[in-house]
Amino acid sequence: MRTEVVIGKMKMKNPVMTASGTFGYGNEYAEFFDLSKLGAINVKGISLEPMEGNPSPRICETPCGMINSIGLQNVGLEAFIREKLSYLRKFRTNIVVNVLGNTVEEYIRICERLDEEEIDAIELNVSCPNVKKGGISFGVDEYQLAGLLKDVRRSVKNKTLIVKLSPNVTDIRVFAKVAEEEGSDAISLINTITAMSIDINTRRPKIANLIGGLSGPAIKPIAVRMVWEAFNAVKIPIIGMGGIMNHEDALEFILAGASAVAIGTANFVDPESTMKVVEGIGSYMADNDIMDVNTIIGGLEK
Amino acid sequence: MSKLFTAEIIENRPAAKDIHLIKLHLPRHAMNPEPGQFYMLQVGLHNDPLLKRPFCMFDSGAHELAILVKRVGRGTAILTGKLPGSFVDVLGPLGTPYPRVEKEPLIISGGMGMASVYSLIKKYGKGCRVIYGAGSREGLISLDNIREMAGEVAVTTDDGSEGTRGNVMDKIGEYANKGSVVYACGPEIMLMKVSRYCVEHEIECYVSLEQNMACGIGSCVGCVVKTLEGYKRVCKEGPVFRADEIVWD
Repeated sequence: MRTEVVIGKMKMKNPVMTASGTFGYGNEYAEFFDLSKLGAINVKGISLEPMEGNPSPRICETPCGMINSIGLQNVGLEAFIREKLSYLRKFRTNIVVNVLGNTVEEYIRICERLDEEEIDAIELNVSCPNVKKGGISFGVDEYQLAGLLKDVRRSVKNKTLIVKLSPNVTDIRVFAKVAEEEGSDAISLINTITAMSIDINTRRPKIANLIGGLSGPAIKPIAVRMVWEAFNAVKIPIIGMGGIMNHEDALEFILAGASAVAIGTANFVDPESTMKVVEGIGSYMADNDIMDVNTIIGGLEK
Repeated sequence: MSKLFTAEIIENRPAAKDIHLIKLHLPRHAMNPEPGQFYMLQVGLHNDPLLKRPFCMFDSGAHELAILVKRVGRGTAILTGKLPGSFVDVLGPLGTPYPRVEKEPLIISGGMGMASVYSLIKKYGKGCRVIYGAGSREGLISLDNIREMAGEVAVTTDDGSEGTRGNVMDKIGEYANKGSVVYACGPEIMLMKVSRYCVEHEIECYVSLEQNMACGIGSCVGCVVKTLEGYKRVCKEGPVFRADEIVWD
């Protein structure tokens, strides 16, 4: 039975990875299972300088989901390389580093540095506001996204380049095509959906930042639809995510066209979720006589 | 030894208005929580409610864990409605406990704060003194037990239905001194006042904080509190913090 999938230059022993921001830098989960069993680990988004993050409350629960506005709290590029990366390299799995910037120059500096480090892929978080362009995020303006990718692609020579698409757009296919045309090796989708929740007794927002990102099973059908649309629009591989709680959810994404899947919010609910998805996909393949997982990617029967 | 396991509810009874005492039967390896630590309980089925809910260790014994649960929303309503014999998924023990300090322990509890400090009172027994505040007599959980266990107990209620009319701050001056170590849990406003008093009077003080949590293991960074060294995670560096490191808004 073959479970290996390929994303750009990155060979994954199985199609399961973690979603950025839901797995810390790996160490919190190492006491629950052997991280080497994962197809890839995607770490918490890294910026050039350390970021303090947003005030509390940062999270709230909503029906079958949660809203978060952590504010991209992270240790910064140099501390990540010095303190976190050597630990992660102990595990025999791919390391994907999610990067964020407030300007094109910041993205370039991080990418140039990471391109020489012992990592396997760079995932661009393009949901950050572009401070030089009035704070509109790169990921919701196709021209800004194209501009960013042109420059970043030149700095990422050795590693697989993945662009994480925002779902907060009218037509995801436009952005998927921009990523492909500008040389991205793969796309991952979906990031969280912007959302809001209010406590009617205090009349205050349930998270301090007012608006946050919705994740969890509530967004899964939207994510599956967007993966299907992107799959029919581009040829580069897709990493599908959005509310995957178990292997059945993961297989929906694979059938919709995802070559790999990322587990996010489920890591908070059950720290062993990723392992259970890996095992569940194996059982599904055995039960259905599927010899190679690649044969069911985009295998939706219409 | 995994901190993730399934536990049977062996007792679930009202302890005060809107508050239940729930006892769980635990596998051996999940035992020996320290006072101040907590467990995450999965109250829902099929992703609704989605996230586990954090509860302090109220008391523990051979293979037993007791928690105090106040009905504040949908998750706690579901949990307090569960019958003995039902099972819940549990993660724990988690978090940093109250540290042992070679000083005279003064334990201050406001309302549901007893959920966290009861085990600490049990640990120090006659060696500790307690200031126990609540809205009224009905909110004073396990008062008889606490009087039996602790060296001395001062009770305050907002309505004067038990002990002195007022709140714990009316008693702190009488009980706390530089030879004390104060451990406190209760409403945020109370913890802020206790902390400020202790910082001002140079009394060592630890407070146990509460915050919305998603994972309970330090990964989501959702449950932070502002400290002099930046944001810290209530689930990992906490829930017990030194009072003089918290930045109160």
